[in-house]
Amino acid sequence: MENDIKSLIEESVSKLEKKDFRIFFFAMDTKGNTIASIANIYEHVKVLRELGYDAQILHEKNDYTPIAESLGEGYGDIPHISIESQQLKVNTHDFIIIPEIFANVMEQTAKLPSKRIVFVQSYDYIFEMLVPGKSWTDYGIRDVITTNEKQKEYVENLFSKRVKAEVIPVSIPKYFKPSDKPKKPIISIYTRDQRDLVKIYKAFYLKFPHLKWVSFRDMRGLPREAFAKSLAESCLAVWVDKVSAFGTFPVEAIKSDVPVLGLVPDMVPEWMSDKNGLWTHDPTMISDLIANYFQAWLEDSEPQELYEEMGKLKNSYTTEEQKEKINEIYSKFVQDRIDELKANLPIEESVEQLNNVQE
Amino acid sequence: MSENKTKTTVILPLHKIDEDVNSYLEKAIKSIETQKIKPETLLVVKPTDVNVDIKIEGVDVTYVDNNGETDFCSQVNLGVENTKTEYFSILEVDDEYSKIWFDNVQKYIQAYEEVDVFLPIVLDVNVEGKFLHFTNEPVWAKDFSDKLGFLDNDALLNFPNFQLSGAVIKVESFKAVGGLKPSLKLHFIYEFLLRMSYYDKKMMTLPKLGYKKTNMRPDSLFFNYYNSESEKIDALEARFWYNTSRKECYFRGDRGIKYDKESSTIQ
Repeated sequence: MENDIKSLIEESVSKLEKKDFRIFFFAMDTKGNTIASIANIYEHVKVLRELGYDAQILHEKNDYTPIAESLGEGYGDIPHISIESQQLKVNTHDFIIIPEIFANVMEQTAKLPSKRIVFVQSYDYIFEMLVPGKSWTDYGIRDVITTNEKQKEYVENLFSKRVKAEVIPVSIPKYFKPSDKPKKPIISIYTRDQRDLVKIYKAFYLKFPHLKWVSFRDMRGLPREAFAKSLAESCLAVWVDKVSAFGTFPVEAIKSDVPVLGLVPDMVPEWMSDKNGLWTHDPTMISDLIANYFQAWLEDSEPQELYEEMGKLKNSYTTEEQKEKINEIYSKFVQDRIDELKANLPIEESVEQLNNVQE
Repeated sequence: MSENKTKTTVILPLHKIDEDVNSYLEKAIKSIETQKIKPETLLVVKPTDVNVDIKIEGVDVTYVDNNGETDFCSQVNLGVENTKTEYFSILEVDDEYSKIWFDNVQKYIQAYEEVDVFLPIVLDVNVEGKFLHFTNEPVWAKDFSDKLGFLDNDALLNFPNFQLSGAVIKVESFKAVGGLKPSLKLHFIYEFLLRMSYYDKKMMTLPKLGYKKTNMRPDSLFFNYYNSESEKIDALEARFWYNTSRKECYFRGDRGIKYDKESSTIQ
């Protein structure tokens, strides 16, 4: 029996060393809506596959709507597997990456033999399904991936340093670039709560009827490249997301050379400075600020310093940087797993876990 | 063409000169002087007995003596006949370009080579300089026209209020559709735009404040349409010219339309 376990562990170690294992990314079904956090999950999967890992999207139901097509080229061959299909086998040498919101999935998968890592992209979702009084560590979670230092600090403090977070910054695809045509009097707007969007443009049209011809464009639901094109032709991007942990939308806008007017989130993003956007803490002022900026845009009198400051983000959050970090961090996870299997896994627990291989 | 000039002639139709007109003219000329990118030429079309001497650094100023009809349309048509650049623009004596206009025109000509008319967003003010409204801006409203920012025939049939002064127009396209029609009153700009769209000419509003228009200056063309005893147009005649414009746009040439007050009825 001990020899069987030993050989199984050795086999898992060997598979880990040869990259012969799978990394499952559990993904929420957004019904085809390409939200930034899901796009980032697909980006991890794509990059890992480019790096020779067998990364896959794991979803709950068979009728999951993939978003690969809306992300553009290079995502079409990403494999998807459904839990409902009951085709899923998870081994000791596999990994499951679980978004922060799914504390229930962390609980349900606690007895699986594979390594599980939580992916924190939005700290605001951590408590959504977490049972009061419970911690991720109760479900055997020790490792976290997050997107910036502030969230890392927050998560590690929240779980009293019993989880360790690694930072893999998001990347902004190269198709987020300035338009080759002059900008149009269109305001691209992204708000977490759609009611905020409605409030902003209704207040704007009410207070500034002579600007009723200015279009607000809701950016929800557009395929990524169409989204990028649409954003780049706008003269202004408006962003309202109080609980944002990073702010992919404003960074995409800045990279497209589109100034951002927004509400400062509770967790101030690392890239945000006093001068690289038009920031306010007062949501009731947003429509006035839009009108002020738009009037300046009509007269070519926007503050030049704003564009200079925006330019400083031009070379940040690149796909190359992210790929390098993904390589580094996932290699580390694999090595840690190898070390864990070799040295730390108690034999009794191994027997139990190996018997629990799920089908 | 030098890099700080556009391939544009500004046509300034002048009907008379007096103290009042002169004070407006100074501002109009100043608005050319202050452009970062200047037009190549200022072409003043004037009756022979009107004398002015205009100098603008970096701009050729030429004068065309008009011995024929001196109505607005005839003055403009004569100006265009004498234009040697690829584009022209009409500057009315009581109006002004914004200082960013030709700089933007240069950018938009490069970005939208196919466009025949770049309309400015016009800041309409009263004689005291108080803001009244914008003009030419609705093409940027969602669903106003087929293509955002462009003015087409359907949009014009639904909404006639556009202005041509300040616009930058391809000379060749203007001539191809037959120019302005002097016999039409009140709605001659509307008819011209309808005709341009009917002949598939591309018209877009350049979304920048490009032109300041003084409305209802005493003794101006439209002031006289409403107030002058000899030129006043009543509601019946106004309706006649509106309806006529919508029909005449299918003809290239001016068919010498006349309004017969006796036989006219509200249609």
